[in-house]
Amino acid sequence: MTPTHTLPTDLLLRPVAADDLDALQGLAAAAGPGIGSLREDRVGLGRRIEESLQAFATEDEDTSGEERYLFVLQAPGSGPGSERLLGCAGIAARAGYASRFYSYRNEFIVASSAALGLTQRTHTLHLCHDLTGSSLLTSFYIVPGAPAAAAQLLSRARLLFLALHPQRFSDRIVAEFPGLLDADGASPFWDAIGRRFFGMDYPQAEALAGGRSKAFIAHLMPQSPLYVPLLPEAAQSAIGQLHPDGELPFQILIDEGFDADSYIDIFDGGPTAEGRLQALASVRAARPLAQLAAQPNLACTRHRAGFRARLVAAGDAAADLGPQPLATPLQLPEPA
Amino acid sequence: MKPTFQIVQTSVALPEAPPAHEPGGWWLCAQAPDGRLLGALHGLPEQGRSRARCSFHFGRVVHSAPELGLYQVQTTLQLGHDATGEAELSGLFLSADAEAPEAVADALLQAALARLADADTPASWVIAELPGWRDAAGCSPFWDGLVRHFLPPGSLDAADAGQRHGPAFSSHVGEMLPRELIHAAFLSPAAQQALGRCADSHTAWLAALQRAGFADWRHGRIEDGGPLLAAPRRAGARRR
Repeated sequence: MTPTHTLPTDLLLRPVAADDLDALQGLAAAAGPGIGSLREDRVGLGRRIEESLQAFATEDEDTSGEERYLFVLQAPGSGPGSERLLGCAGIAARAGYASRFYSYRNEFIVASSAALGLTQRTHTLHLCHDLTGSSLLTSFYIVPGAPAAAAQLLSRARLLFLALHPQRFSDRIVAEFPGLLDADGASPFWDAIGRRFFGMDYPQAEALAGGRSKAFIAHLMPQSPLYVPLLPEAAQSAIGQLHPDGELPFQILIDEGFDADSYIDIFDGGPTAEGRLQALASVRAARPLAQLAAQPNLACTRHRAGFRARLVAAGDAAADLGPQPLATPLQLPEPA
Repeated sequence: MKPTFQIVQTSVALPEAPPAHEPGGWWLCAQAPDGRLLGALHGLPEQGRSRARCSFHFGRVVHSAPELGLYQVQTTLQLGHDATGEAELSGLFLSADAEAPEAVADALLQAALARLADADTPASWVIAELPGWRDAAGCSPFWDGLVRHFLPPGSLDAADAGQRHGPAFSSHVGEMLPRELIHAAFLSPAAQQALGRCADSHTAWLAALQRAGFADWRHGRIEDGGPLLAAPRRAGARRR
């Protein structure tokens, strides 16, 4: 548990603003290629900011599911105007909006022959659109060395935002995480599957997919199940395995109750976590701040316009977060 | 010199020849004047009546993404029972001491096709399976590259099991194999090269079948990828 006296209560999570472009580009450059939804592309990042501003400004009755929200985590500087960004995190209201969101679903088939006296369980991967329309957590990045509580704030404040505005989102929440790469940056999963159908390196294909609906993938990937035993061992081992860069945000969501056993990314085999919003630990534990005042919390404003979230020490009423901030304990209870 | 042998029909299995794939039907033997068996085959008017007859259909799918300028043709394998109901030749045997093996095979095939052309059967095709290619150690790359992965590790010695179960082994193996489309690209290069490739031991029969009008049916045996060849059943009537 984070001691109250070290709690970085001056960190602020807020929607990205137009003048964050330079700082956001710096974060994207530091994030590297593993986060497909955060590329170092100034034009693309400018578009992301515009989309986010528009999403926050859209009234509930005008939402379509196309909205993409982007939050930034701001640390105070030495004076006014010297604040710096420690990280960012996003939400896409509906995964695969107006198209399809592709995943591989893990399934197992059992074959048996009474005459041979054999039974065998075989792991298969099914290309599917199951997660289309789910709300997608995206673009998580936090600078190395940031306090652990900062990462909690950056990731979990999104869940409070989802809980406060359920009419804008699906109750099924998903997040993709980067898969294993070898020392040369090659993906064994991609080399065994995607390369056979795309004829190009993983980074090249990943860049092609970035910003697209990924629907074009359907034209080139096998529609029939993949039989995992036919893949090279390196590719089998990479299925559902996490790149070390993804460990922190992955663990935060697993602690929330996300399940990461059912789906994987079609490019690099990284895990795709999914959960039901109302079943997530932060959402289940969310209360008005006044009811949780005896412990450190993560709290946010209740309104979409001017949304803010920060860490709140025990006993702090957080008047700066407006009337009756919504809070959830920084330290979640252990699962039953 | 014209070879001297006669074609004789029998219903009794021949110990020298491989077993017939299914019961019923008839055997044709090529016998030398001294009674030696020079060659044989088994004819069946309709296969798949006694057990499920499995084969892989070798097909193609096109993966195309015009917006990316990508276009790929992929070979696929689909497990099925496509040969069910067709006529079949099996138990193909040529004696090592046959003086004119080509003539023996040709005569056996001609006689068999003539009988099948007249048979009371709904079959449209006459099918002949040939064993698949094996390496110098006698191992099938197709078995190693595909079939083996769908059996519990170390559970089965293909040669032993084949001996024990006879031709029905193929049906039993079929119960263990995937029902969905398999892209050949996921098989090892050696397994891919073995698709539809005949064992060296049966090249004489492959040539004879082709001379008799059989052609590649784009199917393979499920246990070793050996080719299935087919000829129109009624064609036998025209050749007489």
